[in-house]
Amino acid sequence: MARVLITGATGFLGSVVIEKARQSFDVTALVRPASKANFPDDVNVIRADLRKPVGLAEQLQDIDVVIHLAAAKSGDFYDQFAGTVISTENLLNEMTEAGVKNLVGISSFSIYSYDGRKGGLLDEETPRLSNHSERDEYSNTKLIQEDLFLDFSTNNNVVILRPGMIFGAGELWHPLLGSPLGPIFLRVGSSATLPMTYVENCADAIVAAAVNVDSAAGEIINIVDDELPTQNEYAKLVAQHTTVPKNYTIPWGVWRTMASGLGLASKMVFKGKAKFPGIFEGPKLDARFKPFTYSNAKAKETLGWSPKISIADAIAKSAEIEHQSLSKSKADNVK
Amino acid sequence: MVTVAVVGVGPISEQHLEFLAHHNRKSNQIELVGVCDLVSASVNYAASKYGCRGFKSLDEMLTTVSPDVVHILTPPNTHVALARQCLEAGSNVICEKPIAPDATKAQELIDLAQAKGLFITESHNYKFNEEIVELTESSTRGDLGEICEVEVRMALDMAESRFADQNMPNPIHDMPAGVIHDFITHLTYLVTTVAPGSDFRVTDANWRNVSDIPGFEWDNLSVELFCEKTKTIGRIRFDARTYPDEFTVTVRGTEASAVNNIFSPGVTVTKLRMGKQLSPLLNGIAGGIGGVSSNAKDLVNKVKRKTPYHGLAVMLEQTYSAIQAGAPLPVSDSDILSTAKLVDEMVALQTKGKA
Repeated sequence: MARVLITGATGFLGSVVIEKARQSFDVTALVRPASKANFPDDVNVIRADLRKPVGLAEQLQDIDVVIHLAAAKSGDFYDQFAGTVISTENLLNEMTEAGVKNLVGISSFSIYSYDGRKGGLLDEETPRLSNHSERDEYSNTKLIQEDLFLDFSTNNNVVILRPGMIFGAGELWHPLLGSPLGPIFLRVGSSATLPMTYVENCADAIVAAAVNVDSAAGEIINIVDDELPTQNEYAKLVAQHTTVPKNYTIPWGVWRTMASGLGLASKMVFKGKAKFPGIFEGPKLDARFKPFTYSNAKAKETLGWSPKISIADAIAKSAEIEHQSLSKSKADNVK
Repeated sequence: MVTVAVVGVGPISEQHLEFLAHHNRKSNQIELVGVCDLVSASVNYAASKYGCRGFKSLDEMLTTVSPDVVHILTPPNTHVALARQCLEAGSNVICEKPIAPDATKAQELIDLAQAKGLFITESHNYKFNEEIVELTESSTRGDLGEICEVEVRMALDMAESRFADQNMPNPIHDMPAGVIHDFITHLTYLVTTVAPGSDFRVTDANWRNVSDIPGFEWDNLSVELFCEKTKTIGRIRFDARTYPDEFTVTVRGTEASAVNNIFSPGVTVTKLRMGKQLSPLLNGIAGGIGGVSSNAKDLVNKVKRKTPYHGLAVMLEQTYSAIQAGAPLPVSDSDILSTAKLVDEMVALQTKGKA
C-alpha cells in the first residue's frame, strides 16, 4: 500500500482526510509537538513544527505522496505568513531532500480575483488576485503558498486543489452568509450561489488527488459540491436542523453601493490609505458575497471524483453530529 | 544618497520598510538596497514588495551592496553578533531594542562603532510618539509643577500570544528578563524621558511568575526607581494577565498629573481649575471632553492606519536627518547605556521575587 504524509492532520478538514486516506494509504500524520490529538493505531505520527527547518528528510524517505493541508487561518500577516508560507517552504525543502516527488497542495478560493462580471462563471481559468493590498492576510499568504506549489511543480508531480467554502459539523453557520453584529447576524444578500463543499466530499476529492497524483500532475482543480444552494436556500436548510442566530438580510446591491461610496470617500479624504472593517471594503465584499456561478466539471473529469453526499443530507448529518456532541458534553459535565 | 539594508523581515520590519519606502519616494535621499533573512520566502516577499535585492546571508549582503546603514530587526538574542558583523564590515547600525542583553555588551558595541568611525543606535520609538513628546514638554516646562512620580505600566494578555507558543518556543525566553526583555527597554527609557533631569537608580524590583504561562520564567514585574537629586520616584509595572491591554505613562507633579495610554491617543491632564472646590467638577468635564475627543481621534487613527508605532517613523526621520547633517543622533550612546544600566540593576534583583 502506498504511503501518504498528511500535514494539518488535526484540523477540521485534516481529521476527515485522515479517515478517508486510511482506506487507500498507509497514513502518517504530521502534527505539532504540543498537539494532544489522538489517532487510530494504524496512523503513524510525526511531531514537528514546520515553521522552522526540522530535519524531517529521513522520516520522509518512505513517503510516496504528501497531502499538505497545514495553513494558518488567523493572526496577523506575519503569523499567517509563518504558518502558511514558511511552513510550506520548509516542507518542500524537506521533500526535495528526501526525494519525495508527489504533492497534493491545498490552496483556496480566496486566491481568485472577484472582479469578474456579476453572475459569471468562476472556475480554474479565472485570474488570480493581483492587487494584494485589496484583500486580507489569508488571501495573500495562500497566494504566496500557491506560488511555492507552482515552483515545486516544475520538477515534481503536483496537484493543486482549491476547495470552495468547506462546511460540516461545527462549521455550519458560515461567514459567506454575513457577519455577526452584536447579538444579531447581518446577512449580505440572499440569492448568490454559495461555492460550498461538505467536508467529507472535499476529503474524498483530496484523497482522489493523492491516488491520481501521476495522471493529474500539473493540474489546478476547484472543489465544490453539486447543486449548490443560494444563500437563502442554505440558511433555510441549516435552520431546519439547528438553532441559528437572529439574522437580518440587507440586499447585496444596497450594501455594495454603500461600500463603493465609502471607498470613494476614502480615496478623496484619506488618499486611499484608509482601512475599514472588511465588510465595508468593496474588494473584500466581492470575495465573500458577489454572485457567481461555479463548476466542478474539472474535478470530476480529472480525479474521477463526485460528491457522495448532497448539500441537504450533509447539513442534516452535520447538525446530528453537533447535537450528539452537545449531548455527550452535557452528560460528561453531569458525571 | 544613503544606502540602507535591512536584516530580519519579521513583524517589526514592516514599520521600518514602509518608512524607508516612503522616505525614498518623498526625498530620494535614502535608497533601500537589500533585505536579508534566513527564510527564502520572507526574503523574496520583502524584496519583491519593496523593490530591492534579497539575500539569505548577511555576509553576502554586506559584501555585495555595502550599505551605509543596516537596520537590525531580528530577535533580540541575535543582535550583538549581527551588529558586530555589520560594524566590522563598515556599516552603521540602527538596531531594534535592546541592542544587547546587558550594558557591558552594549558598551562593547558602542566602543567598536566608535573605533570604526561609525555609529550604532537603538530604537526608542515610543519616546517620539506625539503624546509622549507632549508629556515630556509639559514636564520640562513645569506645567505639572515639580515632578514627584512617574509610572509606566504595561499589561498585555500574553497567554495566547506568539511568546507563549509551545510548538516553537520564542527565543526571547533566553534573555535575562525572559519575555519581559522584549519590553523592558521601552518601559525604562519612558520613565527617564518624561522626567527630564532625573538621574534614577533602581531601589527595588520584584520579579514574579504568577500566571503559569508555559515557558515564562517571569510574567509580572514591579520596579521602583528613585532620583536622589530631584526626589522623583519612578515606577515600572508589567503584567501578562490583566485585561484590557494597557500601556500607560503617568506623570504626577505638585500641580497636576498627566497620563497617556500609548495604545490610544490623547493626554489626560488633571489639575487645579478655578479653585479646589470647582476642580473635581471641571476636571470631570474636561476628562469627559478629552475622552470623547480621544475616542474620536482613536477611530480616525484606526481608519488612517496611524498606530502606536507612529513614533518610529519620527525617530528614523530624525536619525537620517542627523546622519546627513552630521549632527548628534536622537538616541545617543548615553541614552542607550543609561537605559541598559538601569535594566541591569533590575535584573540583578531577580532572585528576590522568585520565591
